[in-house]
Amino acid sequence: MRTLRRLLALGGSAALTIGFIVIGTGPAHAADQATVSILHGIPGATVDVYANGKALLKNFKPGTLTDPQMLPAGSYDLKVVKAGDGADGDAVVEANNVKVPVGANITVVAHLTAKAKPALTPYVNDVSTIPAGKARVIVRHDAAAPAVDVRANKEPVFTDLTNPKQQSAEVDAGTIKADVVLAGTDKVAIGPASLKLAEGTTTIVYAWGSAEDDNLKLAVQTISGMHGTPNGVPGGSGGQATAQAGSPVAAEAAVLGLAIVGIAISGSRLAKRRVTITR
Amino acid sequence: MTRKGGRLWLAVLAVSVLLAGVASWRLTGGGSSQMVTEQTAPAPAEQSPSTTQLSPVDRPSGLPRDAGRSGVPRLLAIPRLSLEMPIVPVKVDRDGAMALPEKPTEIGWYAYGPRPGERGGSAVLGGHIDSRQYGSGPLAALRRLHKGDEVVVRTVSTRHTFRVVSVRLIRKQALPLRTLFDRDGEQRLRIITCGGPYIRSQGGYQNNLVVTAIPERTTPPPDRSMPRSPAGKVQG
Repeated sequence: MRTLRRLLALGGSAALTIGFIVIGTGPAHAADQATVSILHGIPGATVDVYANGKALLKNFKPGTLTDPQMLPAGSYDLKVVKAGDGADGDAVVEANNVKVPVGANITVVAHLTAKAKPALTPYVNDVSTIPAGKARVIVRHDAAAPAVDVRANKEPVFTDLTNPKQQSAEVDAGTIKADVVLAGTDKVAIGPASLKLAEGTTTIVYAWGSAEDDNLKLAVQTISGMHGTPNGVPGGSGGQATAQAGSPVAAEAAVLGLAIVGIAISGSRLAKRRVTITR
Repeated sequence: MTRKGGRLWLAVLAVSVLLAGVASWRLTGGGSSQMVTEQTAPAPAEQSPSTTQLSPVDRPSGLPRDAGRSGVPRLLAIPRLSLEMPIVPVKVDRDGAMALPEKPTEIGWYAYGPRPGERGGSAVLGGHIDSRQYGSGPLAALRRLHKGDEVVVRTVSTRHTFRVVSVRLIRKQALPLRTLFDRDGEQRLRIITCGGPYIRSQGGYQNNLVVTAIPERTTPPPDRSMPRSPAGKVQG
């Protein structure tokens, strides 16, 4: 079974097709599942990814990001080998006992450390609700490069980001021009790239590659469906509409009140009268 | 006490009883400002994050969908109230509330949510019932809507017809925002304005008037030669 999915890496690489090889058994049960995406951010090598000794991804090319896949929650031993080397091949990089909690949304990134050693870093993606009109941006430094600032329209939004850390912010939805500069400088390392930050969506920007090899790039992952709602509908400011016709409920309640008073008074008067007559 | 006095009080009693009857009938939902209880819409679906590509998206971008594109609502018409209002796309104001057109003669469409006629979720129209500057607007008539009344939303090329299923006055603090602005559930049109008592010291209107309507039919663009679907198949 193989699900074909489209992938993307911003910064030039062509869209590729890759599939998760479904691991685990039976149909997905959301109750004990987690959402997992994998990004290949190690330049130069096409790889296969094994999870607990079983093939998870084949022919995984640098710069590609898988679509999210539901996997059973649990603990995974992940191993990345050169494509075709098999489960017992030499590890390009491996990570044992990677925790995948129930309900979590995780992106596992194969990348270079600041010192250009391969590493596997699992990031838990923030999929909490975003206020209406806003977008969440997360930047992750997964490149063999020193500390960087990430700028939006030339204004630093995230500063002094180091490998493999991440920073997050909620910003107005819209399109920005993003670039990556060496921390504290105007020296552009990557970009600029036009980035659409959709309302209610988390956009995760990965800086990957190697500064020394001059192949720094950006990869972008978006996760939608976290939109909030407006906190109200302030539908009037003057009060004239009530003055004109009265609010229906208030007016009718007032009439009802008056009528009850009328019934009470007239009733008691009539009762008194009857008493008088019977005497 | 004289007989005359007795008649007077009898008359007062009769009038009072009549008024009480009418007022309670209206208050309990018999009148035009009925508060029909709507079946509780299903809770908004669980977040369904999905990775999308950076390349073309068919869902809302960061900005309101292009107002020039067909499918964007342009005009709200409620024939029984002789109401016609231009629709403008709106977003969120500085306080996080739905941004509404300044003039009560225009109504806003919440452009981050579905369009009227778009399958799935609630398309939300909202406008001022009145404003300090411009006075009372056409939405003041909304409270006279009945269940079953026709509501029409026009785009450049299409006419979406809806039927009112409920007209409710809801305390502002109790507004079910997740249901009203739901983007995934059943297809609904919501028209929201203010209502209830106006208490200046407590922020003005105490309630929102919420009209909920369900799709009746969509008239396809006249220039498209589409096969006619049998009447029985037209979605009611």
